[in-house]
Amino acid sequence: MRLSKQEFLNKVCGQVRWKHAHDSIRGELNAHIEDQAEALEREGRSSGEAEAMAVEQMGDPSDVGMRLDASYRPKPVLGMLIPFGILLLLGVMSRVLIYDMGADEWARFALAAAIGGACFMLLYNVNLYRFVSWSKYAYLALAAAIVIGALALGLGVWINGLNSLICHAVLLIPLYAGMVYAMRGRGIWGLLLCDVSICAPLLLITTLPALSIVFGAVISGLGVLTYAIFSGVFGKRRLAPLATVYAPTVLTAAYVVLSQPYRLERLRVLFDPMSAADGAGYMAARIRLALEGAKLIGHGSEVEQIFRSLNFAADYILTSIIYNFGWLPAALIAAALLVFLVMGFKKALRLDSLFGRMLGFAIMTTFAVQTGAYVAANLGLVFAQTLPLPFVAYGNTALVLDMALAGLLLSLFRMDGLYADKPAKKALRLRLRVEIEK
Amino acid sequence: MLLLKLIEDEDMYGYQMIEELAKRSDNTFALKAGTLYPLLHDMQEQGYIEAYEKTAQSGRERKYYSLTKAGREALHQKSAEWSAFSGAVNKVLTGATMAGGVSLATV
Repeated sequence: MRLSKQEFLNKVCGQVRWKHAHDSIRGELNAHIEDQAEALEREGRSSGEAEAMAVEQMGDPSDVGMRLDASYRPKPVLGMLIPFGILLLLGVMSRVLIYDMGADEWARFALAAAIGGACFMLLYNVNLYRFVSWSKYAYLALAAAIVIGALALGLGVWINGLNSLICHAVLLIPLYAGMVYAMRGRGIWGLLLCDVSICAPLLLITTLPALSIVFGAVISGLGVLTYAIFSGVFGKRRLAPLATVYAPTVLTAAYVVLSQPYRLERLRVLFDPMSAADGAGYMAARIRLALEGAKLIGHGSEVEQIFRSLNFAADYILTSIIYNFGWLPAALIAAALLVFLVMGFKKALRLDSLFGRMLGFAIMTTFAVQTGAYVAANLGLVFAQTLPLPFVAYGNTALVLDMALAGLLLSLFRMDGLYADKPAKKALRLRLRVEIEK
Repeated sequence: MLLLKLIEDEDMYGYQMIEELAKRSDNTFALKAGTLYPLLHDMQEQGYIEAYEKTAQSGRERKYYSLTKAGREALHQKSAEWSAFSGAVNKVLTGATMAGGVSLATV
């Protein structure tokens, strides 16, 4: 009995256990049958006969399906699950050892861990590559939702002058990478659009008290854009696109800082906290004093009592560990973080598709910027409101968001190989038509 | 090795590879689609080839495969192995003495 094309494809996919692979397999085999049928039609067969023959020449669908089933399997991600697990465990341990958490706080943490786990599982099992064309709209929608929600509608909780909705800006970075990817081949106009999308949140600093988060997001965004330029997303040239990106961003940042004298003062103190040890640099100065008394292993000398404060411990968990348990345990945590970052970047940059590499790079950059800012603040090197240390410290919202990002990242790694980059859109050109009257 | 060789100079899609392989081998190698696509996917997993989609003049989207740096190296290595192997077989068939005393077991 002769099978129709659809019946053949259904039978093949029926043998492939990994459901996410079905679309990719179906698309490629369908194109093959169409090519074969076209060739047979050129030899003089009728359309129906050509298709039936083309299907027959594909071979036994069960046999084809079994071979494909053996080849198409999700990529193992156990290697990345281990560092994630270690970091989560460190987060729980630090809460037990350092935080003075009550039953209510533990209940909230358990709820956050459960929601984070659900987000992780949901995104881990989604094939993100199916939503490539949606990412730019998702970016714009989320950015608008955060700004409108926090500013116009007054949604979110304000903690220490920071709206909790703004914390969700970390989710913008992978979506931003999707938007940059969508601008492939669109030349200078596409690049400018991406640049505006970075500068706009920077300008929002003037209305939102979220310096660290917005700067973190902007630095991550610049990282994504730089990677895109070096990957040839905006053509073969490097210098001109880099200048197009960095010049307006630096100028915007300079305007934001210089437009208010107190921001200039904060920037100065950021890099020289000791010059204002009793003012804006108070915390950094205390951290440095405390670290001077820290030992390699064991409790530091009693120079500061400030570590007993819950908020201080939550924001400065590494400092607390160094002070309470010594440099060595803190170095082990730093090493775990470093291993996680190196492994993540290495794996992300080896993904098959440019889309996967850009998204993976964006997520890892988000984690790296958070980690860098947190570690620097915890060593008293700079002082700013800290960003969360991925999976380990700082707030339940951050834990949920980080677990969601981890789910996204592992989904990219697992499904790698199912997606092939689509052709880039043609460059946008402004056409000027001049008509000369004769 | 033959598939890697096919896309050494030009990126190709699956159907094109089967046609080209048959043409270059005077129809000696008639690869079935059911054999080709799992092989291509395996080679992609190994990092030898990479895929991208391109719209043909007919408007049909096709998945093209291109050789990566690792694939080029693998091709050179396998070509060298094949030359050594076929050379040794030829020497045996023509009755010549094998240079360096290489035993058949190592071949």
